[in-house]
Amino acid sequence: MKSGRRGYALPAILLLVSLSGVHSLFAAGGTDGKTVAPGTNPSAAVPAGPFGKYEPAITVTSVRYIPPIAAYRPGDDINVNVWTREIEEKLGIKVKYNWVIEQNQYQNKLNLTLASGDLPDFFSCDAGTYVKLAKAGQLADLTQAYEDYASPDLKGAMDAFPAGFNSGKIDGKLYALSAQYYGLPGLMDAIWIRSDWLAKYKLDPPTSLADVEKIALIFMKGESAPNKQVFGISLNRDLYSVVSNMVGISNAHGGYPGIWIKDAKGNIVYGSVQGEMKKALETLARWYKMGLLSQEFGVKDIDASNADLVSGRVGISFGAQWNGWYPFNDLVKKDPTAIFRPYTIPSLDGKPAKLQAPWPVATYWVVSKKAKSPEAVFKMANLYVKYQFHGTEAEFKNFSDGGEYAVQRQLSPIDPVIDPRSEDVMSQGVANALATGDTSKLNVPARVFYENCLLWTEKQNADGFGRYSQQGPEGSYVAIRKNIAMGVQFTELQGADTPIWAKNRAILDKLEKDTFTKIILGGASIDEFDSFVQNWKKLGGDAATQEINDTYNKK
Amino acid sequence: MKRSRFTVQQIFTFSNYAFFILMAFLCLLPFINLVSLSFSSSSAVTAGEVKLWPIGFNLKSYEFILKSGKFVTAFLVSIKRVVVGTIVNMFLTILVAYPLSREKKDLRTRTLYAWFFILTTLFNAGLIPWYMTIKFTGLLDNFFALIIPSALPVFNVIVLLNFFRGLPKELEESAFLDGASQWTTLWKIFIPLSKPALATLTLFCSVYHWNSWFDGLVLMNNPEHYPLQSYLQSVIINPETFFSSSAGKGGDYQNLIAFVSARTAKSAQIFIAAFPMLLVYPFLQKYFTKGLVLGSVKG
Amino acid sequence: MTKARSLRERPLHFMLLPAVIIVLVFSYGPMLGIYIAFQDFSPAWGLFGSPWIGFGNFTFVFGVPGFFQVIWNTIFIAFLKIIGMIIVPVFFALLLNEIKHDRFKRLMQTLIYLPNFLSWVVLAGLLIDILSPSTGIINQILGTFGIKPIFFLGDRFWFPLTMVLSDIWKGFGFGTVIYLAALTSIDPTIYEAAEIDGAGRLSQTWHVTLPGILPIIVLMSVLSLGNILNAGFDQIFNLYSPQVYDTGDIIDTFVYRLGLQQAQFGPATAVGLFKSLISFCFVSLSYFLAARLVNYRIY
Repeated sequence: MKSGRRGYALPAILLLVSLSGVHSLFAAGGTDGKTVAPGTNPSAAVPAGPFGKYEPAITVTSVRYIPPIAAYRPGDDINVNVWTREIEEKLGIKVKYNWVIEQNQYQNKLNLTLASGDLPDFFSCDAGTYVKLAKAGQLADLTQAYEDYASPDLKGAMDAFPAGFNSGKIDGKLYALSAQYYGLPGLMDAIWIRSDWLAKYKLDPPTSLADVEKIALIFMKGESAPNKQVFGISLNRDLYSVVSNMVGISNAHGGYPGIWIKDAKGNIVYGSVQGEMKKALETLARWYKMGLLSQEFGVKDIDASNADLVSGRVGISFGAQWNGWYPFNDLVKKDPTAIFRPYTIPSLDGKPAKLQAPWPVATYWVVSKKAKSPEAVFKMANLYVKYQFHGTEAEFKNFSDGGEYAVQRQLSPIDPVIDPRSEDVMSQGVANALATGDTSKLNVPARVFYENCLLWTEKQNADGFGRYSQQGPEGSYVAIRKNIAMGVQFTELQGADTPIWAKNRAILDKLEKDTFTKIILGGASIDEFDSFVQNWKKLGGDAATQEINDTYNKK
Repeated sequence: MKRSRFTVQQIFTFSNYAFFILMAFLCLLPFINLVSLSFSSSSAVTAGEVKLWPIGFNLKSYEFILKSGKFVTAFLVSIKRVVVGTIVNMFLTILVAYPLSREKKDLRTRTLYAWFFILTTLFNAGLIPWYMTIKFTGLLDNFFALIIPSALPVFNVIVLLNFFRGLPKELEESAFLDGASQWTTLWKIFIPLSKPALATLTLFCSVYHWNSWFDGLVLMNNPEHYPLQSYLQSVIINPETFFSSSAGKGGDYQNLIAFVSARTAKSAQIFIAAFPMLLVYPFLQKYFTKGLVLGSVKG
Repeated sequence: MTKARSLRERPLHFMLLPAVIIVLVFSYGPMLGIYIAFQDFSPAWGLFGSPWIGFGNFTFVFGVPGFFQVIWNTIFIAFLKIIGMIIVPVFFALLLNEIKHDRFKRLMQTLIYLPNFLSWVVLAGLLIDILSPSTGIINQILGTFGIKPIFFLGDRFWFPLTMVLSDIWKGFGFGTVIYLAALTSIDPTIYEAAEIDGAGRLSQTWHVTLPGILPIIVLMSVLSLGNILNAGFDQIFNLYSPQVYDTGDIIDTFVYRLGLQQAQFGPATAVGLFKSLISFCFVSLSYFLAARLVNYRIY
């Protein structure tokens, strides 16, 4: 039939077009971009020394997240910037990112990349991942390269926290370079109190937990008004959040929730199921009944509890040492006299509490087994540590853009690798300088901190409040050092989660949070704690405890 | 006999109007709140003070987002995605809805095809197999990775095929008698009669492509290839995720905190993201009134 | 006759071909990865290096205390939502249909659709504020009637209801628009006939309008049944808290809290597979029921 034949021309054309279009779609722009062309890493000898330059330049691949703070020079971006240029110039290393992604999705994308078997030459990951990769034979053994190529400063940073460095080893071989951390006070909490209210009611800072209770009651009675309900102590539903948490309160009772500790016999046990937690929960339940805690704390997330703090509905919060940056900064912006100040967390008996510290190393740097120049990682780390922590004025300025020194460092392909000795030293110097006015002993990063603090002390500029509330003479670091003098309850789980713990942890944490919240709300009696402990042990807690002792408690 | 001032009908009409005004206000409420948040100062927002109007009016959040050149790039990528994606979606939707709308006698494997498509809406193996399939086809970091894997929206197909079924049988029968092929029938008869339904589905596709952000983030290797929503996601730090991330706990917090502009920036981001759709929607609305359902209504 | 028929059939197959190829590659391809549900999967080991553990993931998840309560919660909440999402939009559509002022009608249509554009992250903040037992507007209004404050988001009994009602508020605009379009497509002569027969407005509504849009109601219900186990992760995740886990925890939030969504792909895929199978059963069941009882083929 004529029309029939004519009728076929159109669909045939359409089909051809769509097929060819599809083909070109697959071909066009689908650059692999993942493999480095062979031959770019010539088999020349590796240049000697921690800073030896590769000639000709080599290319190494990596992946990373995009740092949210982008202080780029004009024309720069994450792929080409101050750091990448410096690394190429000084070390002869060209860094090529297979992909970059926004921070929240980094773990997701990394998982996808690993699952499809596409490891870049080097990259960062967490402890659990690196252990699995190493056991699967995908990582390079870095032991010798570390010996040969790590600079004295880098080795110093590793030696300053040997537990961290050693957590990167499996059976004595180094598979991951720990990013270390900023030193003890950085990990710990303080009790933040409205200092203007303390002055108003002529109160001294608390020296015991009973004092805290008294102060809270006075605040509550004094500040409440007919249309403004004020309560005593801020707590949100997360219980262990970075602001308004119950960690400090637990520590005051000798309880250590969420971490592993050694008992009297030297065995590692989980803090949340020890008897001291029961006492802490009793206190919290009593406080709730008294109305010291918000009656709605069970539904408040961190935004909601921050809202209470910043709107003057509560004047006490147990939280991280950096809370002066957030959320208390916002309050000061509104009202420069409404100052939350950090104080030493007291224990029950009038002495500072012995506080807990979580495992601080979140990032490990690993090298793929297929990488042609595994030692390149150390050279880049050397350069980073040099400029960030030991640099001359000129070097430092170049890599910090003169301002907050951390801004530019985020552009480095290896960021962070932290020298644990640094911030504590800096903060002591800054506190002294602010107290005495003598700035002669400040190194470059410390001077940046100092000037930042001056913004607050001299000009009441809220931008300086955060730094001052940390490193100033009345800052959280000063307050926390008193706790450190009583000892530190560092977690015994010093590295990757062991398999049984990793698998069951979420279930056990859920059980813990649910039970604790119910007890505090008064929905269950304090004896519920004992049945919780039994359940916890049955649901994998005992097995996890055994496994952790086997791994981390080798005598 | 006393006459009441208003008839039942009038009372009903009056309360109807009043009722809808109330509902409309309730529905507008979150938007008013959102816009107010985006123009407020961060202290007021953190303190939870902002309800219906901005407090501490400032444009900082909008500046922060809009002044970047990357914003324009991402915006253009999104436009391209919406246009190309919608065309591809509609093209395939029509091509699938028409055969499926035929009677069994005209297409004997009809049910098989139907279940073939429906099953894909029910079974999903998760992120990793999805990613690996796309990688396998070489589409990673390619613009078309945003278009092809989701090229056939099955929900739309179902709607359109119901619509086709509702068109008068006489039309296709007479076309058949005149010797028209399936293609001609589709092109010359069904499509012109389906304009409202097609317009509606076009809107659905556009909204979908405009709002998608996850695939852009995960499948693209470089921010230059991000569509707008992916870009906006990357620009704003979500305080909750930050605080629970390793940075928040391990002490690597310093700079991030200074930039936790939190809810003001997030609100601005959301508003910017939703804005174009809000403009377009009322215009396309008039097609809805006859829209999707002509076919399903037997009457 | 047969040859002519298969000649007529062939173009239909051609039309379906591109979509079939794409769906085969991009929807069925990833489905092969469902076997992750039977592995102790880790990205570090990959698809082929992860050990096979049979039903281990299933026993793990089902063995967590409270899982069956969670399934019940999911079905309960989802079921109420499906019913609500039929009754409320139909009701509004009927009311809106009575409004004669065209501009007002269209304006309302636009406005009630607005909450749909916003995500739950945004709406959650607003809702927490409004529903607060101490400072929220709703409770203040209730207070003027002498009702004691209700802790909507923190009470085991009220929480699921609050979830259902707020979700309906967010989404009813969508259904209303669809049903309204269906209403306007009902043949006016049927109304005239009914009026001549002496039916009042209410009677007309019951005997003409509702049966007229019954097919589209059935269609929408069946389509949403495929979602029976997705009681609304985004919403509940942003609004729930330990006090209401008993009645408010749904499968997806439960899985999320167990960290399964983030890190443990094996169990997460297992749960996904479980949900898919249940959805499949529901959809098939409703398809056959609709075909038998109402003589209506959905697809």
